[in-house]
Amino acid sequence: MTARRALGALENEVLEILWNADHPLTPTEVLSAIDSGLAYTTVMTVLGRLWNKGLADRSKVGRAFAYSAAISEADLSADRMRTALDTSSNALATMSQFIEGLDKRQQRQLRSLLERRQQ
Amino acid sequence: MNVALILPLAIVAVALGASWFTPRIARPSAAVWALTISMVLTVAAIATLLVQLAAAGLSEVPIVADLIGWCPAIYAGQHGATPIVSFAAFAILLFIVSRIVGFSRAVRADIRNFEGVSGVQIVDVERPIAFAVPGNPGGVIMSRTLLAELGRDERVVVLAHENAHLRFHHHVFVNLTRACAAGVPLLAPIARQVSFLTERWADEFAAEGVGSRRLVADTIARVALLPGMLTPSHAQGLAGVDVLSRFEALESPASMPAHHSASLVIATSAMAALGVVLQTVHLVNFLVHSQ
Repeated sequence: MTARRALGALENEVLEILWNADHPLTPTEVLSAIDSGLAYTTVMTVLGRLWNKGLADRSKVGRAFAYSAAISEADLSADRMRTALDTSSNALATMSQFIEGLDKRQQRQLRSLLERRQQ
Repeated sequence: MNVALILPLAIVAVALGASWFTPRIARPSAAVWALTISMVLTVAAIATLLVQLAAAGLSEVPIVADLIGWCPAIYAGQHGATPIVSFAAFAILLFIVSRIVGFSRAVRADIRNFEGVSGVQIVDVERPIAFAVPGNPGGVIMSRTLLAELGRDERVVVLAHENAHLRFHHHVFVNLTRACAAGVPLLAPIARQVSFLTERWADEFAAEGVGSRRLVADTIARVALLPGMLTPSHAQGLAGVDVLSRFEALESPASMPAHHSASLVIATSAMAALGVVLQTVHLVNFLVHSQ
C-alpha cells in the first residue's frame, strides 16, 4: 500500500515537472529534475501511468520516449464521484478546495487590490 | 467547585490562547502545529473534567457508592459535585462524543466518494475546482474548466499547492480541529484558523517550488475571479475573506524566521500537555481512592 501511495504522490510531482517544462522530457531529464534518489524504472513507471491516463503525450526521441504534458479527454470513472462533484450536492463540504467562492463585494475588493498593485 | 478541578483546564486554556497568536510571529506550518496540538489537548482536558464531575457526583449517591465501593470517607462532598452537576456533566460529555463521531462519519463518507483516486485526475465538470483527496492512495482532482483557464505556470502553482496538502497531511490537522470544533462549538474559530493556515502553508510551499510568491498571488486572484467562482450569497463569505487574506499575505514581504517557530510549538504544546497531565493525575487519584 505504501508503494501505491508513493507512486500516486510521485505522479503529481512528475506531472508538475512536465507542466513546468517547455519541451518534451526524457525519463533521464525527469529523473534529474526530481530531488530524490529514484530509480530510473520508477520514473518510467510513473511516466507510463501518466501516459495511460492521457495526462502525458509521448514521442520517440532517439531510442527513448520523450514526454510532454497533455490534458486528456476526461475520465469520470465513478458515478459517485460525478454525484459528489455535482453543484447541488454538499459532498465537498469537508474537502478544502484551492479557492472557494467569493461574493460580488469580495471580488470587487480583490480587483481593487490588483489595480492598486499595478500602479 | 474546587481549584484543583479548574486549574488544569485554565492552564490548557492559556496555552490555547497563546497558540492563537502564533500566526503573527511564526510560519503558518508552526502555527498549524501549535493550534492543533493545544486544541486537541483542550478538548481532552474538557472531557477529563467532565468525566471527573460525572464520577464525583455519582460517588455521592449512597446507593451507587455502596454498590461500586466509593469511599465516602475520603471523597464525601469534597468536589462539590451534586448529582445534578454530575448529570449535566454526563449529558455534555455525551453531546461532545456524539458530535465528534458524527463529524468523523461525514468526513469518511466524503472521502469514500473519491476512493481509488491516485495521482492527478482531470474531471469534466463545469465548476473551476481543484482539491486534494486524502487517503489511500489519495490524489488531486482538477476540473478541465479550471485547467483550460490557466496558463502553464498557473497550473503548476495549483498542482504544487494541492501536492503540499497531500505531502504534509494537512487533512489530518484540518479534520482533527474540525472534529474538536464539532464537539465544542465554542472552539470553531480555532478550527477555521487552522484551515486557513494550511492554505497559507500550501501557498508558501508552492511559492518556493515555482520560485515566485507573486505568481502564486496572481494565480489565486485569477482563479478567484473566474465566472464560476462567484457565489450568489454570503453563505460562504468566510471562505472569500480567506482568499483575500491569502492574496494579501503573499503580496507582503516574505515569512518569519524559522527559529521562533519550533520553540513556539514546543512551548505551547508543553503547557497544554502539563494541564492535561495534571487533570489526568487528579482523575486517576480520584478513581483509585474511591476503590
